[in-house]
Amino acid sequence: MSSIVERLEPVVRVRDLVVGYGGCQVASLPELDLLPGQCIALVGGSGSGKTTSLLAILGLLGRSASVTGSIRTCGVDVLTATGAGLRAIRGSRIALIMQSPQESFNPTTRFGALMRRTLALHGVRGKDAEARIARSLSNVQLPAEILRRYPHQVSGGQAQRLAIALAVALGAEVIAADEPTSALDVTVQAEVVALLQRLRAERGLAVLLVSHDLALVSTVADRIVVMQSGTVVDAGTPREIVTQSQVPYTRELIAAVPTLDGADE
Amino acid sequence: MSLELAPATTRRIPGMAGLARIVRSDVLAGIGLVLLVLIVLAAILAPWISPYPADGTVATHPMESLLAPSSSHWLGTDQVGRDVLTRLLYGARTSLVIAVAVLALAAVIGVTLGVIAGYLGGLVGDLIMRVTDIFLAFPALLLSLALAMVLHPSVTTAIIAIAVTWWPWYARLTASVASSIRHRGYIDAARCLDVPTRRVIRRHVLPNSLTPVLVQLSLDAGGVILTAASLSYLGLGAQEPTSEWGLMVEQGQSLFTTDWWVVTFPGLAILITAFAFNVLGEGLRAGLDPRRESR
Repeated sequence: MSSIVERLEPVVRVRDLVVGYGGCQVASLPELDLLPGQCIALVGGSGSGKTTSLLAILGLLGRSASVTGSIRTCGVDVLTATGAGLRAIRGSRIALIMQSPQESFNPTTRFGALMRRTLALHGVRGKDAEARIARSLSNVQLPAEILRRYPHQVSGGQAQRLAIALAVALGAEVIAADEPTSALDVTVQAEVVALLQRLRAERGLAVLLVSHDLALVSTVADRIVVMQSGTVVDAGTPREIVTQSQVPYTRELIAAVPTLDGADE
Repeated sequence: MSLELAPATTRRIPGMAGLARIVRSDVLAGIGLVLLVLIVLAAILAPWISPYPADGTVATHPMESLLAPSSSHWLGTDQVGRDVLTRLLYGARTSLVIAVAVLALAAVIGVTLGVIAGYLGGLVGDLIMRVTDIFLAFPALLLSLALAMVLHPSVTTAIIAIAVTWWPWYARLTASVASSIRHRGYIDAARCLDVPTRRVIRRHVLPNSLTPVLVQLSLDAGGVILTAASLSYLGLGAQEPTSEWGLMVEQGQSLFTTDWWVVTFPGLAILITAFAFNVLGEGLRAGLDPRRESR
């Protein structure tokens, strides 16, 4: 795979990213190149700056944050882009999957209306929209019946797959996933991960995965970036990280992985 | 994971099915609903089911004044010989119209201002909420009385006077709910995509703020009827010859020791209606609690 992807343009390209709040540095990411079909994982504990880096790449940090360096997401320079420039990539080219999808859906809107409205916001309407919705649902293996449901009537795994279906329906090239499986139980986690892997293989979807779960990401990511207290302390392929890393924090994370059931807290 | 899904019967905004579910599981709420249906039917059908329809409006029969309950006048007659049962049935119309009009006015004003204040926050939100606080600072009945006195006493005046003191509660309730959901994921997402504020409020904030308002409305209906009765009782609401329960109580109170039926039955009507609204409201509150909602 690497021989093919190396010739492709990265969909996300980060250089010398530093994020600070009021003079205090909270996250820095010297270099990151996400290629189509690739999965890069940002791993670290709470406060390591992994989510902040992700939000910076999406251009979602508020005005109180000072962001320096350069971020190119789907061909748009995030730090200099206007609101319209960012809207052109948000959703339609890079989609955000949150930890708890049920809480990020409007509880009074059925999924069908939710998908139709979102597609309409991106200029897709009528038969085209219906066809896209049907295709994306079969892609994530959910029945069309689910479109008549409200968010509280589906399970966590179904809601997460619906969020992914929405990204697929919009034709996103990159999925930015912030702890997409930590609210799910282990078997459902595996299903969501398998779905993301399949979409990568079938559609060349790139995945930027933020997680605290080193065991999980070492099975899916092409590259792992370990962060601690706002800086990158280690980076490499899963094999390099898990078997060869001498960085103390990485060793701690590996030691924290339970050996029997694969679930950690 | 299997693809089986729970049956799609429950929603957050209750439809007929939701109401039926609440009433089935809560006997008291069921009683409230049945009572209310009967009261509404009585009000609608008053001209056809009352024994002496003319008594509901202008007719008087001085020769038949203060007759005790009997087979020809089930609930007796009042000072000017009007059938008390007939006046009660017509009075249900006045009371229900007042309740519906006051709550509609108060909810429309209060919810609109509350949703705007809660969602926008900042200077606009502060401004709206401080005005709301000013209205809340006055004792409600006193403000209603003053207004009703300044304006010409009538049913319309009573409606306006009560609505003016009632909307701030809805504004405050809605504002607190709206501000608690303004940073939910779906609202942030809509804002990121530059959805106009008006549409964010209409589509996302408003529907998710309505459940507590709905419950409050049914809890308040009894209170509005009582307040309207108080205004009429003090001569500042409905005027003769309109049938109104509060007015009937006022006219009958001096006769309580000798002709008890004139004051007792309208008093009971007020009590039963307020009770019905209250138990139904309590039932809705318990039934719509999301923590009790089935998946």
